[in-house]
Amino acid sequence: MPTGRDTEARIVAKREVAPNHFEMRLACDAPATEVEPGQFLHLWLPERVDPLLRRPYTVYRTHDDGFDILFQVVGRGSGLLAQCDVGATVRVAWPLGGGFALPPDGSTAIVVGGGVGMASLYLLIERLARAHVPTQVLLGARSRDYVLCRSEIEALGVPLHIATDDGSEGHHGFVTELAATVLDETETNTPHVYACGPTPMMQALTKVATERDAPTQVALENRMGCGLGVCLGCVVPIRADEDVSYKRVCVEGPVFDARVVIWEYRV
Amino acid sequence: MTDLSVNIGGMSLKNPVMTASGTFGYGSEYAEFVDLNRLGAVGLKSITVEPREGNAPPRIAETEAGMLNSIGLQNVGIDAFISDKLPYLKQFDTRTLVNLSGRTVADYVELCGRLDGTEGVHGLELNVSCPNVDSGGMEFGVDASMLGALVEACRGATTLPLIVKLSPNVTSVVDMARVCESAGADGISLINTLLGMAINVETRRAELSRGMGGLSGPALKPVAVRMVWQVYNAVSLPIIGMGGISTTEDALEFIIAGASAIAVGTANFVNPRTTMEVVDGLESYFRRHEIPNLAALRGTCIVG
Repeated sequence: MPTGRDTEARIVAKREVAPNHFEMRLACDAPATEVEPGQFLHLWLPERVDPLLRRPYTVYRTHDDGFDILFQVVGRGSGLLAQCDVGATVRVAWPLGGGFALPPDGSTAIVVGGGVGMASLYLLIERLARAHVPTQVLLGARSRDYVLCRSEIEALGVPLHIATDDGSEGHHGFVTELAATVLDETETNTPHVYACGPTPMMQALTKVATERDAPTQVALENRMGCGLGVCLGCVVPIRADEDVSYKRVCVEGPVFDARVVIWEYRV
Repeated sequence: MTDLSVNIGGMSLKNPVMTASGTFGYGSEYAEFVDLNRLGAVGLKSITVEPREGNAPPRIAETEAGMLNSIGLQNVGIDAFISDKLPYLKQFDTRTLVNLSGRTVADYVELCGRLDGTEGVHGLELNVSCPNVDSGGMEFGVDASMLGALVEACRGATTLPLIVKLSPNVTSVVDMARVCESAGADGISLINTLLGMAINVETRRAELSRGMGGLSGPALKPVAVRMVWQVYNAVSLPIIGMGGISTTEDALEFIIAGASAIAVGTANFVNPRTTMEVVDGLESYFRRHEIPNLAALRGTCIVG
């Protein structure tokens, strides 16, 4: 029997929420009691040797009996998961990695998501709302059909600003342009910025935010082997004083202070 | 009563199930999934004289039923290993096999000397087969005269059981094993990763930062079983078999081919409980077939 944080989970609901984007609810016997927003799970379609490795998915939402994931089909692993029927059983090791830290009392927050990156941010938005941190969510998508988590965020009463690549809704352009505007319009104290999305978006956002001295946390993703800090396969270069050192996304991340991430090295 | 104990060149194991170097950290990372007391031995991540940062990402790529890695021996170095990593393992009733890598013979000799007599170290495994570094590494494992000189020098530097982990990237693995035997090695680990490569056809870029990397996982298994069988039939040294072991059946295949012990590697990443499942599975197989001990099964492969 699985022990520790590696447990069986049963798919109890599945929904295609946008083209090629799936929301899946999973139930397990011993769900994790405490999950930090931004933490992830490592999912295995049991007994398969091809594809061989587990896949990391962020914990999108939590329930008393399990959790939800929200993912885009990008390759064989996510494709096979999307084809799994309700009732199928998978294995998940969770919660893994370190999550977002909530800002100090009296702060405000700006949460910036790009595409399916919203999956890493919803739980954070929920915690910020619960902690009464004044928060604005900026969401970038390729078009209005790809705007994720809209009703969930609206249900929390958190203001949502949308940017689309094709202009089909909200700001016609990049979500980082929205972020610059919102940061410039903020007159009180400097907001804390949280982000997850495509690497170019997070890199651009880091520039926008650090130019305005806004503390910024980003959730990175990478190919992973073990998810437990052992294989050293998921490292990214991180600035430490004058040096650069490789840090593991799975245990030292996935959330990093944006100012120490060396984006130029990312492939 | 099934007796799964085995002696590997002076290192006595309660059962033949080990972990492969580089896939189990320094033990503590897997403690919540694995009862380390139930492992025959823990094979530890390769250690070098100085700490190493390792290679630039991307370092891993998935391939058909396997994966490529190019980690580049990232490790904390011998000093931090002895002071920070080794003490944790002393609390467990298991054996430790410390994997050593170097650029020169002098590096290996220094490491052997430092660990000789160090409490908590039960055996040394010379890594002469890492495909992911510029100097040293696999060089030693693919040149018979360099390999012989290295093993002889290390033999002179330690009284600990000395295992040599051979590279599959050679024309004749049997020749390399014979060299180790005459140079005074106590055992052979077979096999390290097979040199491989994968390319993204859209970008035409190699999947790994250094182009090539080491192939591991189930895809490797038939190659590993073949090499264990060849070496078993040519030398008398005990063999630690590894390469794609994910199940009890995989482990049995290696033992029947001639391995005295087996190591689980990449499967630890996928299913962290693999070693425990294999220990249980072996016990049940030996009972079911009424085989009294490992020696009665080892090398019993029927061909033809």
